[in-house]
Amino acid sequence: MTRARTKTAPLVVLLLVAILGLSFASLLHGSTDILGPEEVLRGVLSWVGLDEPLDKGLQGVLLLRGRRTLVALGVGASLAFAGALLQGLFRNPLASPSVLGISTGASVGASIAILAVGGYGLPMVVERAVEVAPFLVMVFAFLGALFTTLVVSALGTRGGRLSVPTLLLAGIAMNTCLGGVLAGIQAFALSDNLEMAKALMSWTFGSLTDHSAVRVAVVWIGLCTGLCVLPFVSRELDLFAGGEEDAAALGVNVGRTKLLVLGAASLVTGTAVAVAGQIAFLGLVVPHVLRIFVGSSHLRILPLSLLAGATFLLGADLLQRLILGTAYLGPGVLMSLIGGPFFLFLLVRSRKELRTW
Amino acid sequence: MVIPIEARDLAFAYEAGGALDLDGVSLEVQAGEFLAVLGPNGAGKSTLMKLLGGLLQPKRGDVSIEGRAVHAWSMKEKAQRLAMVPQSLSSLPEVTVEAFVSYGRYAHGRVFAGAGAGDYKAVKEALLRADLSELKARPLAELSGGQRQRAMVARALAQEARVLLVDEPTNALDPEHQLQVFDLLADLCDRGHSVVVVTHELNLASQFVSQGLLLAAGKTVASGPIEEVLRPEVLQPVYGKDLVFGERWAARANQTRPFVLPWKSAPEAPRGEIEDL
Repeated sequence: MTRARTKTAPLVVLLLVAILGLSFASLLHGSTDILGPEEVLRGVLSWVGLDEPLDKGLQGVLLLRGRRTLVALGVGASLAFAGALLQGLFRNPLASPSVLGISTGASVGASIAILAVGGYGLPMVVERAVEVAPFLVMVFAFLGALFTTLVVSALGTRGGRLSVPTLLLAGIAMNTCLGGVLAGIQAFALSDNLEMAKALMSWTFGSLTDHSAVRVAVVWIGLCTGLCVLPFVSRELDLFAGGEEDAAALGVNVGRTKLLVLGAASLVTGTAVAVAGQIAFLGLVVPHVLRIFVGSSHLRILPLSLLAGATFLLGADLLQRLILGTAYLGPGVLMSLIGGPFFLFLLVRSRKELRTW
Repeated sequence: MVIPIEARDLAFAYEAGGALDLDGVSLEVQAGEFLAVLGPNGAGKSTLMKLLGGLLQPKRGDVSIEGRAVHAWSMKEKAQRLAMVPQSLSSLPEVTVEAFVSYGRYAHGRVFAGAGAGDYKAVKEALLRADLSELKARPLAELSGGQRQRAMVARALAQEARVLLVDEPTNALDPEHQLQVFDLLADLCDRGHSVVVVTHELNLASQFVSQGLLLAAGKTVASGPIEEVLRPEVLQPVYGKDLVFGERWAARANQTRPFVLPWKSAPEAPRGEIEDL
């Protein structure tokens, strides 16, 4: 415990420095080299009123890059936070929004919303498409995520007892079913409306390239709302480690804790997916790596997962932009390439446990 | 005076509409009393404990803690008054012994407040009482079965509840540690706690416990002072005839309570060995 504690402070500092550094690099780097370090610094200071703004065009470019950076940070933090919450609640390192099908659920919800505002919804919705679109996509993504979360956790628990294999299998089944629905929606759009099909497709593998202020707002509102559960679930999740019944005997309001955790995980996954599409495995990898360094206490894991998730996604996005330039793949592709093998590694490591299932 | 814990006419069925797994069980434990719930496997002992702890909702009857229905207390209020020591945990937390014992302080904590001096003191004392001070920095997973059992008792001590419900605390313990655990529980009773323990150890019960409640097939067979419950004519119908009663040993040890030894095939039982115990 002491060892874990002594490692926490340097890690927080390291992550904060990394976030600042990466953010600066992210503002500096773009499709054109019109902004130097000095301009970036001046532009950023001007946002907080400490310096004169750059000339209009440059300040505009910086603003777009700033929004992109904020979206990457928010989405990374959201997904890692959701993963940490779910791993705590289900007491299993294999749980994460993507493995349990929650991201796919959010994608289906968001796709339905995109269809609705793209001409397939009620006339009332379509007419007001521009105003309600981001809001609608966010709400539907949240509902899709929440629906999947509730179904998967209901299937995975029986008589108040959680069965991890059943839970993971339920996640696989939901992923398959919802993946089918998603493919169906895309196929339908492809045959009918090519533009919309492109929008849906590119979004499925995640995208951080949208620069609109609404997206920044959506992801950060979702994240900040989700963070409100922190004081009410951190210690409680630690006590869940011995099982739900044990937690109840120690005085934990088990029902409320589960509801808050599942609600918050659904919300932040929903808004992250609504903004950036599916980015798999981030929620799986980040809390797991953190646990190696700082132990399993959620008082440390939950806040740290926010910082580490933000660092990880922004870093991955930046790295990709630097290496691939305009041949940008999208964060989802990269995360799958890193996270997939990592997931397999976890499986191999817990093979002993798997054999006893 | 307020009764720390009492149950009236409890009935419970795991399957809705199915046969009752517990039927018409009542009990009352005063401050300083040590009650053993006895009975063969499947008698409903653990079910009774979960009902007493408010983890299950009875089909009939009620449980009250300090005169108030168990479900009327908030979860934290209840945990401040009643601590449970489970037989085992469904999964083992990856923490040190000290952190695990500090979980017992949850019920005394408030949102937004960190651990205070009272918490540290209670954890330290609980570790000391359970003889775990030297092991406090060890991960829980590295402890032996007996040490882990003591860690669970220590966690309940840190909870500072007046009522302790202890489910088979001596499972997987060697005789010395079995004695230690019962000694610790008896000591708590001397300090005014009320302890309810589920056990198969009739001998330990006969030595340490003041009250007995014998269950069979979900019903009360006998209840009252332990020496009245641990009598051959009461136990044999429940446990079968494989019990040997070491009156001779008890007499020699100048014990007033009977000495009971569950023993297979009583007629062939090597009496001499029993005497040598």
